[in-house]
Amino acid sequence: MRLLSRDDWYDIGRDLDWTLSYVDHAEAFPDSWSGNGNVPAPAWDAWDEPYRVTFHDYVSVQREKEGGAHAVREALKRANIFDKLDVGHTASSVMHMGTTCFVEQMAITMQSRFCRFAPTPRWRNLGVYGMLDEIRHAQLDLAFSHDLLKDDPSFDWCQKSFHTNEWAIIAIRNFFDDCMLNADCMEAAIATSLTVEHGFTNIQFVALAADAMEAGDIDFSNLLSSIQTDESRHAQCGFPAIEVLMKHDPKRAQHIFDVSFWRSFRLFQTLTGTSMDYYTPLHQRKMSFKEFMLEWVVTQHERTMRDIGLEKPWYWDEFIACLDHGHHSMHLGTWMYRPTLFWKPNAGVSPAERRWLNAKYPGWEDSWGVLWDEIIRNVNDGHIEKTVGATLPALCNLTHLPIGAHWDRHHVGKHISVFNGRQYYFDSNVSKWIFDSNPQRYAGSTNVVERFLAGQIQPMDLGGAVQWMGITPDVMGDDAYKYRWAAEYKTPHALAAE
Amino acid sequence: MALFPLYGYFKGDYIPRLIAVDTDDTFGEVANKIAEHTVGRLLPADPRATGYVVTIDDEVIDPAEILGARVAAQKVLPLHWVDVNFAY
Repeated sequence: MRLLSRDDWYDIGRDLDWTLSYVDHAEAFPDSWSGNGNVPAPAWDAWDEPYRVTFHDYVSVQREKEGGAHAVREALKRANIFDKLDVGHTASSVMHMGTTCFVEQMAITMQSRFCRFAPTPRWRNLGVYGMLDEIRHAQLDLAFSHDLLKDDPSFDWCQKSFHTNEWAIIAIRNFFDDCMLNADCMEAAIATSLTVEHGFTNIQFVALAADAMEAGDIDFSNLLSSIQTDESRHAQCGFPAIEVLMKHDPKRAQHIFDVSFWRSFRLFQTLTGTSMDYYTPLHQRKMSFKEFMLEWVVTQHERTMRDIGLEKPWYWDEFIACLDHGHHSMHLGTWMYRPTLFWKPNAGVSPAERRWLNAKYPGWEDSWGVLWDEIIRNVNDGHIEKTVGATLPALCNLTHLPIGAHWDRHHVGKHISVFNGRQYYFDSNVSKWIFDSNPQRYAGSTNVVERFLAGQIQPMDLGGAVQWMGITPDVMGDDAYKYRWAAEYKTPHALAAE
Repeated sequence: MALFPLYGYFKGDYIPRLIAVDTDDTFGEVANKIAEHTVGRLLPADPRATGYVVTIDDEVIDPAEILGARVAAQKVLPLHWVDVNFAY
């Protein structure tokens, strides 16, 4: 018997649904899970997936991809390639594995929610493939990191990190709790599929894979490329979801987008900005974080917003201004609090690197160079202890990132809300706006400072905090190049040297 | 006499920090405890400065004033934001 071609049966298959008779539809698809809101049922007939895939096609393609990724992995396991990599670059791969693997794991739960609770069977059908994608990504991260354990124990944090209280992990976990696990299908589609995956990580994976290849880390590049092909596919499910919502509740669509864009940006300042402008070895940098954001993320989001009918977020001008600064702040902060990291950050401010930073960011010297000058003086005077943060930074009650760290030292300010008698601090007026728009959603969370004051961290000092975060001596962060870069400043006119 | 947590920000620094002070501290001592995380670490000492000036909610505070008095009057709460700058 001749098999039907896919197009002969696909439209019937994707609309397979049941007319419920034993339970109410609202009980089977509660609004708190589906996020359907006021969208009338017939509106979902307009939900049209941007790509077509069958289980047979999916398994065939994924099998090929898995075979390719693991073939490279096996070949490189024997090549001891890790030993030849620049330590600045390896900080990026350790950070990526530790901060990403369990986000992939969380995404499995989010996609499985699409499978069960999405308002249309078409979306539920594609959720299956998204879920299988995310299982593959988490397992790939774990497999590749396991191979690298013999080279660097920090790769243990691929599995360990999300079971600790490490401060960066708390910030990441909080964001993805919000946009994946605590989100209904509609919120998750806009916040995660459309904004995080399509707008940020998809592009980041391409750039990171290219940087890794340039740095000679074929293994990491191979992993990222394999994952990116899945992400670019399943992230597209955000488009039909927001198109339906824009017709029936555009205000809600705009709000979800505005919230998730800012929160995604703050995390990208922290992880991608530091990696691109400081960890990547100078001669291997292709573009600055700001250039990358303007060319790929901003352009793409502007096009997406225009196509969908969204307005630019109200804070757009501030966001553009912060492209010059926030990631420099997060880098300075992570480097100064390096004992709280499970990777070894490159300071990235040698005279040559500093010339590059000044060329890419004309305001860098005034905002950041003056602070690094004092650090360099202390390093060269042998006062390393003065280059490590001696008390906790004030933290945002929304992002869990340091207050003031979205911009620069000329824009540090108080952003405070009081809710149910408790005072909340925010890193920016945008984060305060997000909290104020739905305080019940965010009010229960406590940041590291509040946990410290509640007595959860003992002894109440930096050593106690490091222990509480799960950092062990074998992985504890320190300057990647053991401060050799600072010695170059002992040469007169080091900054002017070519 | 009790430990008391503040958020201290030294003007020109890039972040404010958690500062442990004592309710018996004068605001001059509070200023020193905030400044020691910035001056000599991230900003150089200013040879022209005569000391530090403390500001809370836009009010300049007498450096001889005791923190505990403001805490008792609930004018300063736990994690209250305290600004410090060089005085000239």
